Amino acid sequence: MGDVADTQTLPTPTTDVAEVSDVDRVWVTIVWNDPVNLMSYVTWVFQKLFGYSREKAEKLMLDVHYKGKAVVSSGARERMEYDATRLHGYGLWATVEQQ
Amino acid sequence: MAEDAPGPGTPAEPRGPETPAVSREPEVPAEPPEPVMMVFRRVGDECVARITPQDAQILRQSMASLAALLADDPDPDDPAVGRLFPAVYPDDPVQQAEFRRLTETELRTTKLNQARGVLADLVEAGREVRLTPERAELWLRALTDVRLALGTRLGVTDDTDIEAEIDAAVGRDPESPRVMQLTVYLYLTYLQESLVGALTDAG
Repeated sequence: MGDVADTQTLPTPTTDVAEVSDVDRVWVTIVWNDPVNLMSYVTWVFQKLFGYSREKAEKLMLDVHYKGKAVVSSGARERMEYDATRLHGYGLWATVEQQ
Repeated sequence: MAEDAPGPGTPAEPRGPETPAVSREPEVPAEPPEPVMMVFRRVGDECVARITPQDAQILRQSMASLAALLADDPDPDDPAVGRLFPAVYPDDPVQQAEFRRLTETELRTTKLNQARGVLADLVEAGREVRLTPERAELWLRALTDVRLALGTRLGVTDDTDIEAEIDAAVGRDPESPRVMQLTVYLYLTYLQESLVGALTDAG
């Protein structure tokens, strides 16, 4: 995620505060492996949706392929839900969870 | 993910019901289509491919079936529908229901419009399809949805060798719907790969 979060409106994903409650724990978007999507297509989607470099997008794609899943973005929950919905729009299998 | 060499094993997608997959009304050609008839190449900003009537027919049937799957209340128990609309919170039914309530209609409309967009492009295409980058992306998303639905119905896994599956299905019954569905799936896979390649071609 290349954009700078507005701290007035979005909780920061970092954990630089001494006390970290459940509410503050970071949310992540996870993409899971599936047998249909093409490796070239998944790499392209990561570049397209997140503005990642080809290298980073390929590494994430390979993690999905060989490890079964990869965290593709992290931050505020609403943002993760937005990312997951966009990924579903591109046919990738994405879930959201709190780490 | 799909690649030339078989990948590491992953849990199989649930096998779909016995109903025909993406081609519901088989006004299908008598012979299975030869894979890779239509190949995209980059011309300037556009992705361009020559298209035969047979290409157009396969794509029309595929997109029409996808549109039919999405048009009316999609059955949430249909594994193909489940794959097109995955749960964002698979471990939290309450959150998931709320999320689905807020987002699914829009996502369904988007997917439906994509399938209809490809159908519209096919109507306009003569012997050649010319796609702007924006239209190429729409095609990629629609092709993905068709392949997800068809792949789910066919029980495709990471270990599935589609060509071997076709040979086996032909051996059992060359006229079976499964032979046609597998052949269409392979055809759409090659087509999508060629479109990704053309779109991301730096030239």
